[in-house]
Amino acid sequence: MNLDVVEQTARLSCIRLEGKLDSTGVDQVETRLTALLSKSGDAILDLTDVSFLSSLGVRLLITIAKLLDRRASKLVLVAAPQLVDGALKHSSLDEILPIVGAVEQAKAVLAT
Amino acid sequence: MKRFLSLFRAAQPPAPPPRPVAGFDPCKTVADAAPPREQPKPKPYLALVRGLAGHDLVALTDAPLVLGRDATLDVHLADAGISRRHCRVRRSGARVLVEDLGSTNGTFVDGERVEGEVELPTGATLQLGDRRLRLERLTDEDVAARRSFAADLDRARRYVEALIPPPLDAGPVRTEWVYVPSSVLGGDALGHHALSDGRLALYVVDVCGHGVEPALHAASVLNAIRGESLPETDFGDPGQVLARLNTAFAMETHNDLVFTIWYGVLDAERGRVRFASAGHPPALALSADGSTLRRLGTKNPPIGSFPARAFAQDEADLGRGERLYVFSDGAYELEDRDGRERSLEDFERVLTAPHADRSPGEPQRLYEASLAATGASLLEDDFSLLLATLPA
Repeated sequence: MNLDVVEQTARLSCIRLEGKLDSTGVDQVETRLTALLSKSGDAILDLTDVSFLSSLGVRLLITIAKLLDRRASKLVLVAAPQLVDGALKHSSLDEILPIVGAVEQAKAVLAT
Repeated sequence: MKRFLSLFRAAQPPAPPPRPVAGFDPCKTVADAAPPREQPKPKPYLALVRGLAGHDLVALTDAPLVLGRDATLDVHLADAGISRRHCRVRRSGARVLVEDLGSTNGTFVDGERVEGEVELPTGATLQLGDRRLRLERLTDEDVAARRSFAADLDRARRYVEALIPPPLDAGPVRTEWVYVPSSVLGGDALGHHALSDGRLALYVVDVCGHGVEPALHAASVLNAIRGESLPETDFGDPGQVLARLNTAFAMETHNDLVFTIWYGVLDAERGRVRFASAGHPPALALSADGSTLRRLGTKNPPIGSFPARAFAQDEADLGRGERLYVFSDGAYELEDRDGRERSLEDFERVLTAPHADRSPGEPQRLYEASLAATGASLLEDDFSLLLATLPA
């Protein structure tokens, strides 16, 4: 599982994940991801290149969403239709978090 | 595997150092008087990665070890991708060397195919088929600590197993189940119990995570359901049960643990099931003749993840002889031999296959079929499946 910081300012962190967000993937990125997003500002998590999201991956997303919510920041997910129709829909995260198809759309959501 | 376990058990923790005796100097403490403690010496071990409870270790002594599928070998690895005599590992002074024995699929060290005899460095991964072993240097204390951890995992597994009721082989609804914990013990649990009005509550729980903590959390959830100990809860109302569980098991007060669940109430007399699921795969209802398969699930977030909210539920009619399969995602989220991720649709195809054997024992056969599809000897997630069959 790869983690790339695409953009990080005081107002916004944009992070791209690539690979399988299963138990191994979560182990690899959880600490760094949480540390990166513990700073102020909103966050965009780009999951376009995440091919698999396990229940542990869902828990990680929930934890991050709550972390940001506690300091009144927002989290927007960017995901491919396959992930949205699968794990994100199963877990109802699509009802709780904004999910869009591209990073620019995510920025537009945060600007509103 | 026997070899791994027996060798592992053979490794005992070191004897405690001799108790020091204080001298006559009143300023001298017991610790001052103790002889300098000898540093424990690490010894080389092959550690099976994701083995049984992730703890299988084999000590490398002066005698070479032959690894392969043959049950009579030093290290027997039951895996279809492994040759009968696959490779040899031996010590040469402080070094450890590995040699392929003409295996069909090759031996790999950190991804590089072994040609001739090569060194296996400490920390390197040795791969045979789907099995991976890592060379580690461990003290006797390290080995004892791992054994203790493995024993804890095993106790947690047995505790969860003890909570699962025996199958119902008499009465209007018959049940069968299979519960096979993964190599690292997941957070699955399942059960059923009769409600006061005679209907049957059925449930499968999957706590996100691996290890002792999720397993014990799953046991707590199972106890709350089967003991009907949630406050002011109608256990015949699946949506209400999930809402109460969501309050009782909020992640903020449970070390960030969340779980998915399918909970249903089966009325065999009326041929009807009420159900609700939260972040969980749908149950599958298969008609008696195997021609119709329906998904029974509702859309709710995992339990404990978000506070007070209503949980959607639904109802469905079930025909005579209809079969209801309730399972965790470990039943189908598998990687097959070709590296392809299997899906719920693949699992549905297995259930509806024209010559599917639906005689007693089907849950165990479904587990074995999944195992065969992966080519591994253990799955990476728990495999839990509860089957309820209505009277024909």
